[in-house]
Amino acid sequence: MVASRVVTETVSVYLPDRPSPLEERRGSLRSASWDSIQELFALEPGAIHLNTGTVGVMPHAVIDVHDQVTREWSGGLMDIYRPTIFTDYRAAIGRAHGVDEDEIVISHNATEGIARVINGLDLHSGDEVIATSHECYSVLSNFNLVRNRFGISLKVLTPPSGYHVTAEEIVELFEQAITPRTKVLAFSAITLWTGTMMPVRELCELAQRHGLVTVVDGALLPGMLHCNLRSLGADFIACSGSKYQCGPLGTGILYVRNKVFPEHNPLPLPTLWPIISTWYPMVGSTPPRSTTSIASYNIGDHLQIAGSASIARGAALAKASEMWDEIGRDRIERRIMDLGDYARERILERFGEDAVYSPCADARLRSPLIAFNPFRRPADAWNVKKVMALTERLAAEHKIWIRWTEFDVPHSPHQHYAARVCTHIFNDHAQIDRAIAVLAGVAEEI
Amino acid sequence: MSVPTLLTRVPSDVARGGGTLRLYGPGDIDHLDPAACHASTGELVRLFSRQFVTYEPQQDLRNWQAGAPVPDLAVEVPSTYNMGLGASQRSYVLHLRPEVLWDTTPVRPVTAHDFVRGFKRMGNPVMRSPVLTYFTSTIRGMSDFCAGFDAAVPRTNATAEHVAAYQNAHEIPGVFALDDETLVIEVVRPTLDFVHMLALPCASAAPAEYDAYVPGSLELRLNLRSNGPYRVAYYVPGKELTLEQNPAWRRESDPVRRLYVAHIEITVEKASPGEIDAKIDAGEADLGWGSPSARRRLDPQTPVSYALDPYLVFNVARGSRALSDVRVRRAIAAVIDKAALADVCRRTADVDVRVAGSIIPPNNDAHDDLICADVPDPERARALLAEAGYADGLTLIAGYRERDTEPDVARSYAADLEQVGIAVRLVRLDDDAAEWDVMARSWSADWTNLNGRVFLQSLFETGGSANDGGYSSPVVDELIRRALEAAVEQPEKANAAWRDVERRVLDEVVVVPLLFRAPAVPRRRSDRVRNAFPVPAYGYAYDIATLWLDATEEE
Repeated sequence: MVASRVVTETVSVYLPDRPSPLEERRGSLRSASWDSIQELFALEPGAIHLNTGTVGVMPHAVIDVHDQVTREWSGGLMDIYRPTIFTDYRAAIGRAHGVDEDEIVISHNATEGIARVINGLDLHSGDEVIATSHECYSVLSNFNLVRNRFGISLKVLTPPSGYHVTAEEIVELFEQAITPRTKVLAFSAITLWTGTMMPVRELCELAQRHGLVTVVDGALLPGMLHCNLRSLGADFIACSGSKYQCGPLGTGILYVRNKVFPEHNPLPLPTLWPIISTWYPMVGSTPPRSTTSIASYNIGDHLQIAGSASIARGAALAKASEMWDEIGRDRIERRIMDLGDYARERILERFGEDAVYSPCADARLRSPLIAFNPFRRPADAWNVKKVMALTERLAAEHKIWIRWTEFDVPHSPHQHYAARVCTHIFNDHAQIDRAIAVLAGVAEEI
Repeated sequence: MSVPTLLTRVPSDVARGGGTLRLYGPGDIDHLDPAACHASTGELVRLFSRQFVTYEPQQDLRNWQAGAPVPDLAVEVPSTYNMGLGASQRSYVLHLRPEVLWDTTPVRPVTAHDFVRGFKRMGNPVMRSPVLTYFTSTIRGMSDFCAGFDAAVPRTNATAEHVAAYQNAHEIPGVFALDDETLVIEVVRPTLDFVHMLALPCASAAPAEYDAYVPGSLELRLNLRSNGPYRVAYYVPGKELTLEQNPAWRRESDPVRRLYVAHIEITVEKASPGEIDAKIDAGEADLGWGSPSARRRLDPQTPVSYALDPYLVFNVARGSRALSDVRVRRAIAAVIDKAALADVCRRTADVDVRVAGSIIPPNNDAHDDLICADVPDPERARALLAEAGYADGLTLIAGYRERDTEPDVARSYAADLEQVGIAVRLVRLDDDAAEWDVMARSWSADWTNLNGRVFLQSLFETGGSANDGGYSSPVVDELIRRALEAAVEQPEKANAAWRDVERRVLDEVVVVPLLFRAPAVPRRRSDRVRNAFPVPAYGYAYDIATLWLDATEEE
């Protein structure tokens, strides 16, 4: 096989002469059927993958790029530092999300992004942070670190869950918790435990009214929603590249607000100390932060440039992002949400409203992640063994991949456990029908 | 089961089974019910009653893991990262190791339901664990469960039926079995030291057979069941205890204990520390029991947890009315010559002690080196007594047990009190019903890491089983609650919260801290004892379950 060289501004990428399925469909992906798009993904035949909330499935083309770039850069004498700025990739990914290259960092994962933000915030003893108990460990762990290090206080709220939850309830919960000492609101865009699509814009507006910094765990956002990150109004959004965006493991996207667009967030840019950086000046400091829609410096570079890095992961993530653009992010979002709604309906039919932890009645809070108690007895919701057995049996006996989650429920003394299914474009209605039917049967046996 | 007293030793660096390990001294062998055992009997109880987690013997006490729990009956030490602790930090899921068996006929597995029963038994009002308040303040609903137990079952003359009826009709809401192999324990707040609590002997499983006996009773002690490497073979209360190997124990289901020694024989006799040492040196005993002495001085850099030993307790609830006046307590505190007391202890027991000014001893969380003991001030003591209306003196009963340095300590402080007109009648305490006004007790840490609660909650919380004087203060209880809440803060804050408790009880002179005592480590032992390493959480006693004996020529 003779390799042809595809040159990008950032990095040379060798691709096989043989056109990939993606290449064959280039130009037609926008109108390709979902059946044919399913074929793009490196899924195990016969498997039903309903766990994108944990990790997505890479398209073959993404794997190819990762492989080829790794080979190209192995054992060479090329400058390995400059390409890891990922300028073009960041620009392309930024465009896909309505922001600029200086506001985007390709990180190693959402955890790294969130850790760099939380530890880089200019917090001091006595400052208060509000977060929820439904955050990823990475959020709570890093805020606890900052609490111990700087003496801040951390107020952890337990958000409501269940069929009838409304966006107003959630916003009200946060609003009641804000005090004069509050400096930061931290929350997920979509919670990984209950799949609640948090009212991000409303929470950011609440934060803006109180002059607060917003830190959003957006791990599940890219690849799921066709959204303009800037318009959400947050200061920081840390995302995964390997979940809904289906990039390689070890990729993330970090959005850092670097200019002021009053229509989105009129507050001054918050101070961020770019920890883990080889670009922060060795003498002196960075320029004052911008107060306008023109950046005063490229904070993305300061965060991006941090020694040697895997060039392949940036290229592969960019390839995944490019594919999403070609298929159409608006189209992808509709498909994912349609499948999510379909799964939700099937789950409600099988298990009933009371079993569901994910919001249903308020359409604004629905996501393609649905968490529910799959067992008849309500008390089995705090039986981790049963839900573990369920997920293990589904995987081992039926090649159906879901996940169990754990979380607090307001006014309940128990830790609740739920089965969680997530839909993506590599799923279809038949898979969902089969998965829910099998799941119900296995749950019944357990 | 006679053992030759003169043994010709064949040294063995290779583990070998057999022989009889002989312990001798005035220690306790009667608190064998796991639900109520504590301190010294804990090292025995763990031989036949295993916990979810336990501690390993340590060759090097400077090892940072020396005080860390390891899995025992649980497959893993529960944590967020092995799905044993929910993200809220308030729900523990404990998975039991398979093939751990009771020595019943026929043998049967230990189940999560046995642990549910064990936790319920801990709260029985007949004979409670001295550290029950650790659990009632931590496990969801356990406090109410115990209050109900108190109301339903008389403390005296309770029958086994009384106890079992309550236990079997009531649940601790925060302790429930998911199935035979899995137990959930829900706590009321994130509790960083909870895994240490799970290592306490009182957090043991209890077989259904125990329902037939009153907790702590002689009948129960004569019918103990074992899931560990040893079991009770012969028992004369207060005199002799022999443990033999448990045929139901399986090495592969116990990651910590071994089974080398064939028999463990404890002979209880009144003996001074010197007499015990002489027996060991003469080869007539292998280890001391109840009055340990060290083989050599420990390197002072080794961070061993000191004990508060002794401290003077005032029986404020049931003792002389004079003791309810803080001025009287302050007078007593002012006149005791702690330095002289330290000399007495060094002379009689060759122990490493230092004068105590605070309650939390060195090398325990929240210990404050800056609190120094006052020098004796008889003038101030007399003035305080006069102010309290006791210018003409008063009489107190000082209780003591015939153990270790206790008689000498009692005589020493009694002499100090008599200097200021307090007549002291020394009374040997042979049973719990004896009356006393003051008494010297000791308390050592139940675990050595994250142990802010172990001195202050046990000794001063209202209703605490180790709160011997019956002290009760809503203010102190609230300070303890705040300290438990603050335990998740960084160490400085957590320790500061415990120091608030300590300051308050010192100000109230609830007790008089007298001496801090270094643990006897490494303990004196006969030459034939091999592979003997201490377990910090058991007062640095050797782990009997892992040592072996040299062969004798006869063998």
